[in-house]
Amino acid sequence: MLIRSILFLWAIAAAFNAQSQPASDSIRITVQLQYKGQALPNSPLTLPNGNTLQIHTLRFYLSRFIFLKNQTTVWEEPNSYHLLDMEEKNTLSWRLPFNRKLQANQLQFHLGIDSLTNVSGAMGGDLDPTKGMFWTWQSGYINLKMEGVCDLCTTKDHSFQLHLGGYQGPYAALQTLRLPLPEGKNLRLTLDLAFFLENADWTKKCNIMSPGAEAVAWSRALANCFSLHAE
Amino acid sequence: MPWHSTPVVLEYPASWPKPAYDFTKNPLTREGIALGRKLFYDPALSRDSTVSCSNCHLSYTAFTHVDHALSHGIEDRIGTRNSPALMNLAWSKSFMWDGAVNHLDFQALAPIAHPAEMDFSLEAVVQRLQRKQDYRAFFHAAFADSSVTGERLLKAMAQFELSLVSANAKYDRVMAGEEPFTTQEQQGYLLFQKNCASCHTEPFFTNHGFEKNGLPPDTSLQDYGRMRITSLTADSLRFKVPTLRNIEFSYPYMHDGRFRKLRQVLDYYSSGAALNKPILLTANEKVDLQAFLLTLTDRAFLFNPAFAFPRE
Repeated sequence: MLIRSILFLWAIAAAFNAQSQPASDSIRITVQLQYKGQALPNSPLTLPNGNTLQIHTLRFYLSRFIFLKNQTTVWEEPNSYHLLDMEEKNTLSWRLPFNRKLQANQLQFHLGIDSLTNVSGAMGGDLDPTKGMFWTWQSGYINLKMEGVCDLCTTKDHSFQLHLGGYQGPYAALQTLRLPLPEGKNLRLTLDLAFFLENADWTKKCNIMSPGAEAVAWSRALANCFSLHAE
Repeated sequence: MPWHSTPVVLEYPASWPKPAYDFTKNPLTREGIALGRKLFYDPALSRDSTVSCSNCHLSYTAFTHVDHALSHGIEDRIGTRNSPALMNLAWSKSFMWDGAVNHLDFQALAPIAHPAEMDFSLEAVVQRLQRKQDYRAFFHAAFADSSVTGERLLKAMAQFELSLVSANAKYDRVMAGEEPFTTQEQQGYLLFQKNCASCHTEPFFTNHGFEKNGLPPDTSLQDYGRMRITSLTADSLRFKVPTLRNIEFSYPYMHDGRFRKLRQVLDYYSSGAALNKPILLTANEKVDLQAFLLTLTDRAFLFNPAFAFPRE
């Protein structure tokens, strides 16, 4: 009887352990939105020039996560479309069923949605057009939406609206990032907006609502703000 | 009872090319088409529930807005373009006069959101329909799930629009060897092949491209067509080539509906104002050409009860 009880407790403990520990064949990725190394505040932040800026909306797509070993794909996430929203914390972290034994040393992903997906018709989940990330007047996903207010904007209420997208050349705004993969059980993908926010000329352009050269340039600048760390 | 839907195979003449639409991602079913038809005729898609797709796309007039140069949406708001006729959409790769829409699934998004049309949003439509019991039943029949989603709504609407095949005009029967043209129609057909077919290419009577036909922009509309989409100056004043099928019923003509009569269109193209190389036609040749164009009328399509308002 005693042995049976011990075995029972051991089985429960083993099951609990399996649930609480990260599975060895998966990896959690958590996206952190930052300004100068600190969590992006819900309140106005002060730029180096003394002006203030506050982000009210930040939503963007990360897609097609690929793990590479010496430039060769060793694993690709199926159905890899993630809509991240600064106001919905559950969208900022998910588990990838990737096995570390594959010894990848780089992680590649897109900021935005690729051109093939843009022309493939209606899709569900994070790609459902009801998510507010699809242009109605001209077909195409909005790769990134950033909206807020900045003293420097000469618009009504000093508001800015950046809707960055466009999938056709020469104004394809999709950005492909390939970052060194650090050792560690989990990954922290940081988007630190400091460089982007501090170098944008808010006096000139506060609204981008369609594909074009500016959308491409701002998308490139944002892509340079990502970094990958072990967690 | 297990869910079951009834597959539908799109029927079209064997001589036609394969459709551009990828049916593997949205297989036609009787239930999907029925849901799409219900949506097409439902004013609940507009903000104030007054305007449905059929307001500007009436089945009996080749799914266009007869007598209206520019279509009107809710609250009598007037748009900037003539509503296009809808047929044989499975073979189109772009939609709207400027090709702004890249896939039939996405086409409905534009009129739903446009302030001068339905002035609503897909999100709001989904929320509204989710509260309607009859729609939940229709969505379950079509997709084995009663939840209304944007993807399913758009795919169902695309299914109904895909079913709008016009392939039974006199022209089609002549091509199939079932009927002859009259002498006048045959002369008109030869004139058509010589002068019009490069843009209005058979069997769809459009090359699905964007062309300049020399029309000066309306000074109040200032519509420069495809350039708005591509930002290329070469695309200034290029508009999608419309099909000529059922042209007898799809007046008024051109992207801004400036011509009320087919005769006016032929007069324009044979004038020095149109095209780099005007189509020179005598008065008799215009009559012959018009006789041929009337052979593109497909009454079986226009008066098909399966395409009309769904009376339950």
